[in-house]
Amino acid sequence: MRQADPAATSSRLSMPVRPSRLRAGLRLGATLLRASLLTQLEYPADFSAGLAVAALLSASDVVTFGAILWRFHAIGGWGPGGVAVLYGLSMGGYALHRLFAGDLHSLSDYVRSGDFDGLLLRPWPPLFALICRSGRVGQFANLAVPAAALVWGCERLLATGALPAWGPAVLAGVLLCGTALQYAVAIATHAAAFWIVRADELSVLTVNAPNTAAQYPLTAFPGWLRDYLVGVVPVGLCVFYPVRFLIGRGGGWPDVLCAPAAAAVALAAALALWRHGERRYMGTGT
Amino acid sequence: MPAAPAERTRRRSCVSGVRLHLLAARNGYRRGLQYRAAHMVNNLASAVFGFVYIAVWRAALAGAPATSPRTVAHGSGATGLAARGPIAPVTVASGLTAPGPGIPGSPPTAHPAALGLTPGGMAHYIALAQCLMWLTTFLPYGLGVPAAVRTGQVVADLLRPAAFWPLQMAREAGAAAYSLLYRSLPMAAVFALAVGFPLPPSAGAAAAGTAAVALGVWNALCLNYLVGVSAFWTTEARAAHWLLQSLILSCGGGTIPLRAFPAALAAVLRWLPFASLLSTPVLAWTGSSVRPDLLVSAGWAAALGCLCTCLTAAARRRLEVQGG
Repeated sequence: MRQADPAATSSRLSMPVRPSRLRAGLRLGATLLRASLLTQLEYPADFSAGLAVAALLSASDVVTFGAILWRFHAIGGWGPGGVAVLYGLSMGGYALHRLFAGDLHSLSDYVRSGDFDGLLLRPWPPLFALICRSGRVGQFANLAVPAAALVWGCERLLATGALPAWGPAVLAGVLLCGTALQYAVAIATHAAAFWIVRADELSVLTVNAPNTAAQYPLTAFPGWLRDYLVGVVPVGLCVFYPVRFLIGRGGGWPDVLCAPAAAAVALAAALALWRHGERRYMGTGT
Repeated sequence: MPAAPAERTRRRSCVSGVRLHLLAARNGYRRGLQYRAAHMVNNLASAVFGFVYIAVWRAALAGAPATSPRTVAHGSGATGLAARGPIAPVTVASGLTAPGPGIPGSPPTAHPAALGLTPGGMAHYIALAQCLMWLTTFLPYGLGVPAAVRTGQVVADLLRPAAFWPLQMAREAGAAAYSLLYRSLPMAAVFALAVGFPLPPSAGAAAAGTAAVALGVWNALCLNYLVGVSAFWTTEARAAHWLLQSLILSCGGGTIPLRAFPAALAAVLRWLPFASLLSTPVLAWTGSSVRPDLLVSAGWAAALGCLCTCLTAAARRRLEVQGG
């Protein structure tokens, strides 16, 4: 069994990021993403079918709340426009982060097979190397349905005067905060693989279930579920509370400001957990 | 009088065939046992999904007209979460937060009772559907056939002294037995504590429910096998797998009863095989299904079985093993 050299890892992680190094990193990331896109385009039929099915799969989320709203017009007092915006922010943030998450969600496989050793040898932080691998260009298709829902919802709310004219700009910022939070949750969840090896099952609890719940007004949920979506996986802070204030259903500016604060705190905590886990990583010895 | 040698050979071959399939089923069951702890975490997540949808339905039904929200939340139809936990604030009736116009083309807000939907009934519906999903929805990608085709392992499978398709089905039936014991039953226990678990109202409903579940599992295995066997032609069948998942989740009635869809669409969905995976078993178990639904499930079971047999025969002739 080999263990990552704590001193080396620590010094690499704490290394100040120089602008030239940052530029080089961005260039490298773009090159790797382009290579990934070209690889996938080598099989155009498979690529196109994948895009179509990804869009269809994300549309299946819409079927549930679409049918409920078609039949009953509101969920917990929220009409189609409000729910569409919640869905767009929740799943839009998720799809955006997946677009640039590379192999982050496959970390368990890297740890199990020992392939993570190879990332430790690279001249870049392993997290960066992991994110730049196998860009999921197909996630564009997953973004299509939430983006359409967000635009449709905003139009309806603007038309009824529920959303102020400057609301969409704030919502765009909230979407970016949600994307950062999704990164944080993904990093923290998959960093658990350094301890328990198989962290993919955990992601259903920390990623999939909260994102599904965040598509609906939090007021519909029992207290324990609201606490989970605010205190444990705070997607509620980056979706429900800002929207609630923007469409005039209560709250104040702190509800909007808590979105970037939650994203920043979560990201810092997730990166700290990742560093801790990376120092603890032991190869498979193969 | 002792049996003729040919008869003895036939019987022996029959017995060894049964043993082989039982062995495959046992292997499928044991495969699941390896990941019990991970599956328990997943069960917890599935239960959270269930509670989310239960709460969403409570909120939607509580906001429907001609009913007092508080009456609905506390009424005799409400059980479990609504009765114990804090009631979600529903403000439609008070007029504080009008939801705005509905979806274009939607009918006037439905009276839930007219559709046979009550908060308690929907909680039971969602709980049952969540428990069933591990038997009929979340099955391995193509029942493992695409991976076997890609690696060439399928050659060894085809050379076994048993037909390829029944052997795959036997293995996955063992895995389904594992899912019933270690995934569906623990989740049923969680839902029973939280919202109550519905028992069949009569022996007939119990028999119909059991038959509907068995037919649902069979149809799900066949549909997933069809996805898997398509890898003999395409090598990569992941898109087909996701398409199937999407259709089951959208059209199977897992999170929304088919009767809540527009009437014309609901009539079509009832005739598709996806309804037999979730909607029909739940309705049969709770005694609300009509006999035609079960007959539709049985019809699909026969049709999908024939299709699997035919495609397996065609796939045998089509197989190309790659690499060396």
